[in-house]
Amino acid sequence: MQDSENILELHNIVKIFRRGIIWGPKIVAVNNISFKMSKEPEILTIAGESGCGKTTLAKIILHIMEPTSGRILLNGQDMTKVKGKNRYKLIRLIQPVFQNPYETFNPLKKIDTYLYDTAKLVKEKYGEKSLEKIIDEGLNSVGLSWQEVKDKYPHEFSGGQLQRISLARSLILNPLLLVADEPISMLDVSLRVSILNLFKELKNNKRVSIIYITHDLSTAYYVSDKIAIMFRGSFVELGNVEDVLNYPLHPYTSLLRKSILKPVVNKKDEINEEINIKSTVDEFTEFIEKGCKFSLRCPNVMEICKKQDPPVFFINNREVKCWLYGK
Amino acid sequence: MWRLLRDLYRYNKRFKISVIIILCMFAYMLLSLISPYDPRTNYVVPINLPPSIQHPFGTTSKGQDIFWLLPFALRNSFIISLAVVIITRIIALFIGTIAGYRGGIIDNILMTVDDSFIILPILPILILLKLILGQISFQSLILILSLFGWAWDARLVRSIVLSLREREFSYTSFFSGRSILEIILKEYLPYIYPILLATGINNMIWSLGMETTISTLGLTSIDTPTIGTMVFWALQHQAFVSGIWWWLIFPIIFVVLLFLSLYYISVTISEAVDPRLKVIGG
Amino acid sequence: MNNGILIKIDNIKAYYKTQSFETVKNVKAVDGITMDIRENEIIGIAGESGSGKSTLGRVIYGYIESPLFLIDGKISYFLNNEEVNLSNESYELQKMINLRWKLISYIPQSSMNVLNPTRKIYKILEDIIESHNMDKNTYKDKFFGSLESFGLNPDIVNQYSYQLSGGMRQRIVIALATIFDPKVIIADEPTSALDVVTQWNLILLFKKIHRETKNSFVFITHDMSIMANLADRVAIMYGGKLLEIGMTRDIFENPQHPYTKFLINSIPQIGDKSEKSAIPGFAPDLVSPPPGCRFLPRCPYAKKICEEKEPSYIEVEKDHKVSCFLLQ
Repeated sequence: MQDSENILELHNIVKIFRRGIIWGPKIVAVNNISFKMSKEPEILTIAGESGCGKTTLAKIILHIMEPTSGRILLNGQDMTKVKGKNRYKLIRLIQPVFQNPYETFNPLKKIDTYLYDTAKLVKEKYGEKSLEKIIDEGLNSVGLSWQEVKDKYPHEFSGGQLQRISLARSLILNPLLLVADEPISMLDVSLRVSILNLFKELKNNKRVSIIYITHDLSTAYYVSDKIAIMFRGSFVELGNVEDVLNYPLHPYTSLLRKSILKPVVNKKDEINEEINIKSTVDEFTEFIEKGCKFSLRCPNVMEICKKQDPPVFFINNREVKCWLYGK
Repeated sequence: MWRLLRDLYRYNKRFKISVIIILCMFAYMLLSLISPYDPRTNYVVPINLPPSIQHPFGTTSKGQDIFWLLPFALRNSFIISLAVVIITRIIALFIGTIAGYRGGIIDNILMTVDDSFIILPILPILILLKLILGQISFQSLILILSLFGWAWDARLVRSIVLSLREREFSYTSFFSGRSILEIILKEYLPYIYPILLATGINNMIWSLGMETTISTLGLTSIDTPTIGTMVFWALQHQAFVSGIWWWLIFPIIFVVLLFLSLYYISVTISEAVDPRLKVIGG
Repeated sequence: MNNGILIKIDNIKAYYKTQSFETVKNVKAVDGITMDIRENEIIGIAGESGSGKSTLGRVIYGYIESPLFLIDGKISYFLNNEEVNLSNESYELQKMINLRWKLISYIPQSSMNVLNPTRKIYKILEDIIESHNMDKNTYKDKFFGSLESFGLNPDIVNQYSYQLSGGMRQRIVIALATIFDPKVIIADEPTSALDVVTQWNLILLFKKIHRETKNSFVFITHDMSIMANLADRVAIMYGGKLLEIGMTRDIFENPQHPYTKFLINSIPQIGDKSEKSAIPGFAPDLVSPPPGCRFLPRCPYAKKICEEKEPSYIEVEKDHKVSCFLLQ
């Protein structure tokens, strides 16, 4: 395996779904996305609302779904066809963390079966150590122990604990990249921050990069280094998280930013806006829109936006996909 | 699974009674091993005797002791339906899993085949086969019933596999290093076999009923004693009209009891597997 | 009316009973709650999983059916001329039914899914109007008016619910729940399945309805940011108990209970990258809760007395009550 400078490279990834069996409108769920993640461990957030395509993109990165076109390189290797033996290479490079901790494990089986299966794959590297010891060390790094976890079924744990066990399992193989799809949205509010703190710790101490997929911009701000705002299949803005969220360039990012409620009590009448009628456009109509998909709602919409999908423009350290920044 | 069955036995009266009845039936079937009469022989006892101490269920017009004939009849009927159940479970499991997991063209082909088998009308085809083959033997009957019995359940298995395939734990298993076959065996089977068990009992009821119907019509090998052939012979000899009610009533009572117990067992298991005992939290 | 109090909740206990063969389990979802709902206010009930807040919402609405049972306590409704009581002894069902939807309505959790997908919206509207014996024309017009002020095209009534987005469905449900101008509307997590932008618009909507009709909202959610921007008063629930209740500003600027403090401080905000800490421990066990204070297993300030007795309420400042031994 050759060492490359990037652990993940996406080149022109496109995924098209057809509505209807034989013919029907095409939905471009992922619209020509390219980006790179370098060897330097970082946490990248892919943020967007439901229906923006982020889960589809996550599945493609994890190789659970095949893209319609485009290439993915993991550590310099093209692993598009993952079958049989290739699977072992893949899972040592990239691992998932899912949204629903109770679905991550089979409710009818004990949790330790998954831990054993994963640990068996690294046994040779650790020579003398028993499987249980390997698992125990993995669990310790997320604040749990083998004693607490063995011989139990998923429903015997809380959501927060299960999510930690899921993380521990993912880490046993020492992957380069974790792809976490809404990992905390199903957890209690009071426990969410602990998982986010764990992510930061993993990045700093274990040198793992994480792709954090969410719709919650506040947690994205808290935990990540970079952020990509996704809208109807494209990255409309990509850059450092402080820059993007404090000084948004794309109108969609501004809209999201403005809609976030702060846990601070304002004087009541400050929030006295009129309800935005434009916000009742539905997903499907926007997806098949020609030109920029945000044009139906954009407060800064121009003629060209309705006709042509904007390309990506580079401004300082950021990428913005918006005609406002053309030329 | 076993804990569930044990709990059901302990706490559900219906289930308990049904299980006891089935066990008694098995015991009765075992009597066939020590039967003093060969069931294929005729005129070994006086004919048309009503139930008495020497012949607890009476005798037939062909000179057979019903009490010693019934175990054979029950046993054979049961074996036929059991064989059909096992074969159809295997076929349904295979086809349902492959169709559900692979999807795409393979799924379409398999389901088209499946649909074709569902709509085949069994009785006309059997009559046709009898005309072609002459008599339908024990083994042929098992094969034919199996051919008709897998289609519905294969669809059930397929829909279970389809839904399981998208659940996150399938992926967790994949990322823990398991191959597709291992995923199917280890993750999906625990979901599939309770359904196969419940529908298996339904299938048994169905094939028992089919066998009885077919044999009553005389389409099978009428020398082999089954419930259906007993009824066939009784009808041939005009048993009811002649007042030899015991020839018909006893096989019918037994087969009805067998049906009812199997039915109750099936329904109770299905109800218990239904996850309604969850609490709405908050 | 009872000096501005619309609903008086007095030491209500409501448990879920489940029976699996021989074992009977009692889930003590609401275990002794006393509070009132006042006129012209938006009161928020905050809590996480296992707090009992959704059950409390149901109980306030009077939707108490097996497996939920009212064990103890009384709810008194002062919504029309007579006082209607709900307790173990007097479940005045007929009177409750008269109140429902006309004087008090309920928007359940995940309510975008409560619209019957096989009936067009206008049919659902007609069903509701007819089943309450009200005049079709008046209320149809009112409904269309609501839809318009919510930013929806009234033509939407000719569609089926599955053809609409989550945000649209939610607005329709809210329009249906407010059609008879009830005095109290109970909403259980009405925005949690929706995206940030739609959520923002719905919060504006609730404020608008409240401003125009002066009715009371009981808003149940785990999201403290919504509370800060919408509620007049906030009640913090945990493990079936009420830990703290007070005016929103007091709760956010002067939180007293350790749990409240944790809740407010653990929320990440944009512009703030400082380290936050989560609350140690896990959600409370409602089946066999510990004796004494429910929050004890997770409280960093636990004292001996917290294990033995449940703290009573102390009024810290005007209209701000806390149940915690730290203040006694």
